[in-house]
Amino acid sequence: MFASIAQRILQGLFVMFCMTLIVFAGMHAIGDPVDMLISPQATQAERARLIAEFGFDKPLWVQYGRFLWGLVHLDLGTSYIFNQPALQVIVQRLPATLELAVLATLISVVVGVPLGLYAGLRPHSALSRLIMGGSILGFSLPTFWIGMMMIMLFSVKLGWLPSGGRGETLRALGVEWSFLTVDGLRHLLLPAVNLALFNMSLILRLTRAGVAEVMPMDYVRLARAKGLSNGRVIFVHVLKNVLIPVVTVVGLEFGSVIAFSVVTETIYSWPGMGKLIIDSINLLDRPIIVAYLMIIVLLFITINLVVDIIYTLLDPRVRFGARGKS
Amino acid sequence: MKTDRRMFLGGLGLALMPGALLRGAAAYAVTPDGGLVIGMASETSSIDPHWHIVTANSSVSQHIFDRLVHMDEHQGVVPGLAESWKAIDDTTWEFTLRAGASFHDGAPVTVEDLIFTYERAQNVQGAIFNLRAYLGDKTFEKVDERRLRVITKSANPIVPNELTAVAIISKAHGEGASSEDYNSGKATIGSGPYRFVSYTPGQSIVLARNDAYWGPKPAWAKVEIRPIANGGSRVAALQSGDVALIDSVPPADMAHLAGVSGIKTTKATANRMVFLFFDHNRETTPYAKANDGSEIPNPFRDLRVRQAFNLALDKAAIANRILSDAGEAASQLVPEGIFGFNPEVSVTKADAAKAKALLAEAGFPEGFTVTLHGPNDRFIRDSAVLQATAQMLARIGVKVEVDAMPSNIFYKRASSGGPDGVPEFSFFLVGYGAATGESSGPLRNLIHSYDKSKGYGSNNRGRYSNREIDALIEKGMATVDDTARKAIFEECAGRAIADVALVPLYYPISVWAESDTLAFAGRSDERTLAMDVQPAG
Amino acid sequence: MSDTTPAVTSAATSVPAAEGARPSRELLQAFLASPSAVIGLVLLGICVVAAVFAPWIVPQNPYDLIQLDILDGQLPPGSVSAAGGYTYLLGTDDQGRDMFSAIVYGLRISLGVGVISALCAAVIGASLGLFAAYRGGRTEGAIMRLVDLQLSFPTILMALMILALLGKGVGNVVLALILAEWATFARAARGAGLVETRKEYIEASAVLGLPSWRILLRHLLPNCIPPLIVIATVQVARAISLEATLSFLGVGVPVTEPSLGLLISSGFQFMFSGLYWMSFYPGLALLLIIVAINLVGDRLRDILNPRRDA
Repeated sequence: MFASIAQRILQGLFVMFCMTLIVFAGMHAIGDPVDMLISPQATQAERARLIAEFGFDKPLWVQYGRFLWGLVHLDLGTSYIFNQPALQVIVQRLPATLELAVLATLISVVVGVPLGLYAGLRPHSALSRLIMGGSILGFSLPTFWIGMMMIMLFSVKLGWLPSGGRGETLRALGVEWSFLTVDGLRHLLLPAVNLALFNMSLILRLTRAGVAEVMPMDYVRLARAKGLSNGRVIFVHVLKNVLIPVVTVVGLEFGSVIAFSVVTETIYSWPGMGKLIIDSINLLDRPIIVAYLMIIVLLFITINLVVDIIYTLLDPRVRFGARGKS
Repeated sequence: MKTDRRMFLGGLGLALMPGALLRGAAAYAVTPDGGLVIGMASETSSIDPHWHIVTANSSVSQHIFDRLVHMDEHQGVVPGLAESWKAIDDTTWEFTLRAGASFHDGAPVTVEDLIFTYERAQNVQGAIFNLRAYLGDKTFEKVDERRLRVITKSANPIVPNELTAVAIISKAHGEGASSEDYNSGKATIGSGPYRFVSYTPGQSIVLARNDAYWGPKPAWAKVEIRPIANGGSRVAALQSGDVALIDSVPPADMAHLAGVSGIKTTKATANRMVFLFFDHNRETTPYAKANDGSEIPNPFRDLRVRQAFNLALDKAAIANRILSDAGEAASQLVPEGIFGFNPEVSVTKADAAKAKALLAEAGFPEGFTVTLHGPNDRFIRDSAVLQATAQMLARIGVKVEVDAMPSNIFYKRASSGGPDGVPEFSFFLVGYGAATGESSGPLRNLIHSYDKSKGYGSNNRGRYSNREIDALIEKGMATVDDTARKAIFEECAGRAIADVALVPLYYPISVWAESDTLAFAGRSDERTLAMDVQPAG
Repeated sequence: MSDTTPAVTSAATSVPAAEGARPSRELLQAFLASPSAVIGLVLLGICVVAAVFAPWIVPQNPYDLIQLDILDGQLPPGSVSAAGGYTYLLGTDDQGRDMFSAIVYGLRISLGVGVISALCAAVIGASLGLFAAYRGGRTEGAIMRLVDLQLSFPTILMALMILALLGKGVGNVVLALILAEWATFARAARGAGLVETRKEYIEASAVLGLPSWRILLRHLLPNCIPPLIVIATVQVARAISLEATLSFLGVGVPVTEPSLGLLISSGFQFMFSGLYWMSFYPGLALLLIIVAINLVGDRLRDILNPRRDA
């Protein structure tokens, strides 16, 4: 198994290497931020000087070589926009995205599992049909549209919740957090729900499918026949088995929740990593883009690896890495 | 049983979170005090006053750092740290430092601080929008404890205007300081009306009043600046009372805000002009084709075609309908009130019939096709303006395809996307701001022929070239006498517009919205300053 | 969130291969037994017809700038056009574009982008996936590593980067969507293919010496089609939704030829001023089409899933 893990880590590094190469070539093709940001008063000589200062006039491989050299020294480059190390700029915005993603995941589980359970236990009731219909919407409608509609309804028409920003924050562990203040939570609610909707539908459907599959099984029938209460059967025997795929999905999806916060953060002006990456793409801030993507890939690889390891540990019959392979 | 471990893992997260939430509710004790909270569209990228000199950064740095010479709301030069200045000859200016001005740490502002500032401002590594354009031609000499001499390489009549851009920092704190030291507050010692309190990137900048300020005492003890990029969110934040003043009100919200009680708007014409530029240079231009797709000679080299385009465009309709009055129909390079504005040049009245006749005269009775390029995230409603332009040109028979792209791609291609690094586009929408508060910038950089050795025409992406106007501009640039220079600049503007070097569309109008308990007049340089805001009444 | 990592998609939507094809009439009957699926199919039919015959059913060509007049801009539903004489049933946008016409044309783009990208992604993905399943060994390893690489990257970031590099345009959006989605199909096809390759008939064909392309095409493919159809249906909806999101982020289709997503996002800025129609109606259209596709897809999954009978 350790050999497999080592192999996976190597693969991950290779993926990351390919990614930096592609991004570098791509960004090189688009251009550099000089023409966009240069002072309108600047002369042609000044423009040439700046391009040389950044090394944008050098061939791509030289620029990439410099990047790799920096990487060896744990330096991902300095942001063209913020004049700070790229990693630092991202890490500054990490808590905002993290709390949004955690809350969104929490909401999706807390709402998704009970609804899915209900829909699975009473598949033919009207409410179940409503829940399942709603999950189709949550599953397929674009996040940005739902986000806009929620702003329209809750911020503009009803005036219950703020439409954007992080609100009041409180410092804990050296970082500003929104979820520690009432005002911050109010700001957090809409974007978190927006971000949660997709996973909520996913978890709901998984739970329902699981319940539908488990209920007719022998051991459940046996438990009932033994005279165990309905509640005990459901919460101990059914839920336990249903939750396994749910937990897996929550784990796997956490990475993509962070990635997809790009859209939610744009709509709700949430000052997190997602908004940063959009701004950075718009301003061609290459060091930030490369560092961000490396972090995302790293995150995905780590999550996948951890889920695989847990799987193997939990179920010895599963060969390492076999999850999701067939 | 192994499932227990799984349950535990799943339950762990659930168990932790509610506790955190409760803790949060209990911790809510700090309330915002009664300072001024401003919502700004753009995010300040650094507190370092010599890093990118973009509006969002200058707005903030102007609170903390004085300039030698300040600009008033209409971009006239007024005394700042210098109480007076004079031109000694064509290439020498002398500034006299104000007595009693001191930094936030109590140290007096000295000529050494000025000289140090001008040195550092030119040497911040990686600053793309830097101050070399303003300082590169100058050397600085200390005359005595209060007098500074500025010597320029050639005659430069706008030295005071140019120095308004440079934030004066303290030498004691600024030596060896990095941008990070300014963000953290370690080096953020200026002499301005506000002192730095804190900076949370992407979230807020907090400032406190400097009670020892030499100038008028600002009204607010505390100021908080929050970036709120989304227009709708900004308006909503104002309506909900989260902020008291916002900048860049989206045109679409103007009508709606007019009906909201307790909120008023403030408008000021910006020093910027948004215009359509032509490829004046190439014999054939890549994006202009005959209707059947065949090659034609560059139509924009014909004055009549340019005139026809100018006549086809109803600038007032664009300003009123598309921009909802967030723009003023433009007649020339700078709006009225800015030095160099020619009062005899007025906005061209749209006349489609005449435009059609001119096109026919130029040999295009059936029009031709052309692609109009432009950014879609740079100016207010830029892609809507592009579409409206295409619509109006369609009425005189010119088939216009609109290609709106993000500015990260647009500017590169517009400056050097063609073969051999020449500007790529044939017909495109760009803007130019007269940051110095007079028209030498647009004249020198837009209208003057592209000339690498002189450093002129750097923004002349249409490669417009008219030797007579060039000579006039150069003459103006060397004329220190204000009245004489004004006359020359006005003539330049008149000639360039008569030759339709470009088609001015509109001057953006900066729109702020604020609580009606505030008195605020707005500024032409697009900055938002707490010093300009007073309690009403 | 408008889409997901396909790892999860397959978890939620994957279907085991049908145990032998059922007669199509039986399938049709099973499909029609669900009222919601029928409603979905009817809605989808209406949308497709509207999209195909758009030029004949709307009063204005919203992409022809000469037919627009900004003086007719921002009119509420029911206003009458000054020049054309027709009624703006759903109002106009800020350019004076008839919203009804723009929505029908936008539907055309959205649906076209969705269907074409899903089809191409299905063909590419399924071919690679089946090939991998059939060949096994190193070929399989290489292809599946590529799939993993692709899947380790969030779709939206992938599409965003591709479009940032290629620039706007319907063609580029389709390309980005194909590149972002093919791996989902590849994984599903390989999964289904693996099940089939173990069956005796495939071994038998190989023993008989049939050429490998024939085995792939004639025997493997037909048996993997049902799960692929279900995934393709879902992917069409997902592609439409992703296209809308990309246009919302400003990297999608050009402004003069708006898709539904672009109409929504450019109309949204007028929402606060009460000019709801510019963004609400295209949103409604998007909602209808996506729900319709999903209703159909849901039903397909149910009837193509053999476990239904168990």
